[in-house]
Amino acid sequence: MKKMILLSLVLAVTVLCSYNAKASSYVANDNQIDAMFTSAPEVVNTAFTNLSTTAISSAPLAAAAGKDAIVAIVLDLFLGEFGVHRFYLGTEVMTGIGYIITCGGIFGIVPIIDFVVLVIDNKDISKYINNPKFFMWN
Amino acid sequence: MNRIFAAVLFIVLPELTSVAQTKDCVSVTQETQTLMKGSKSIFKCDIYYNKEMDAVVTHHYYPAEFVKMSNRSGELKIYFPATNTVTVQQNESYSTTNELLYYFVNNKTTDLGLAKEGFKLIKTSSEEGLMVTTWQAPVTLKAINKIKIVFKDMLPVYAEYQALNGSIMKKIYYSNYTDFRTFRMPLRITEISFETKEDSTIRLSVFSNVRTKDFPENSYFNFKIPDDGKISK
Repeated sequence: MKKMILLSLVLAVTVLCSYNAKASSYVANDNQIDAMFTSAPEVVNTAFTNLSTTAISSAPLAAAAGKDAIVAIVLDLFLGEFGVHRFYLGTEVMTGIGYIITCGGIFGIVPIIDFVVLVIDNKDISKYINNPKFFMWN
Repeated sequence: MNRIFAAVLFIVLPELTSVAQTKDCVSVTQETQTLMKGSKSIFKCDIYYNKEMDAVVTHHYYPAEFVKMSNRSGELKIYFPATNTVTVQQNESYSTTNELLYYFVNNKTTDLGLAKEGFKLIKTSSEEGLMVTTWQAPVTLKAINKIKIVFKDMLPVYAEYQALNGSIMKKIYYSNYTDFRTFRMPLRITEISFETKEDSTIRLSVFSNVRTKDFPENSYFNFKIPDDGKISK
């Protein structure tokens, strides 16, 4: 009898634990995510502040083309799935269409990589201007 | 007596339902933070959605200022006040019917636009009171295999993109749902994209100042590009 009670208890605990494990996988750990954002330094805006004074002058092609890294980054963030940042920077029509038919450049992955390279190279984005390649960083 | 009650109901009910349905102008403040390689970026904008006209005006003001205007037919205009220039694009994908706000304000959250993109519902199941739907990607989407959407109380709380090899490419969590009488929307959306096994990008969007009005109360709802604005190529 004791064995049965113990077995039932173990089973109940196991079921409860698996229930929580499964249900919790559909819920983000907001506290952990907030802590990560709080502790991370804000770098992009520093770059943006400097952009107007130094970066543009060090990126003659970008300046000549009237393309702004800030705008490209923000467009990528909000409209990257549709390749709007690529149209803004200048590219072949088919490249932009490629973003659309792949639901955001292989489902949102390509715009994220675009975002990363634009932030890293924000001082000189000239190599991304009028770039006909689908993977502009390649 | 019954006739009087029926008459009153006949007059009052349409009024009540129309009040519930005529919140045509919705404005939202959105702050998005992106965390990658240990550093974060912050972006802020206000979104103005005119439901009757299916027009969206987004005023981005941090860290750069520009105004994005789009409509149902996919006409997209981006105006840069600093240079007084505007870029114009036209594509069906830019339609306001693809905007996240459109889906929530119009209560079209059953598939979040997947059916329109060619996805097919292949499985519906229940997990601990949650409804789980699995969508098969069209063959044209070579990189992605399936998308799983989990619903709680008929609202999406989680989405998961699976690659062909079964690995998870992206997770999206929709939380802090708030009721705005005619619709409910999440005030917090967390997206985690897995570029590689070792690295991921987290994008956190927090929505606030959600306002619903019958008529546009802010000039951005009817934003007009200045007549002397130059078209930029």
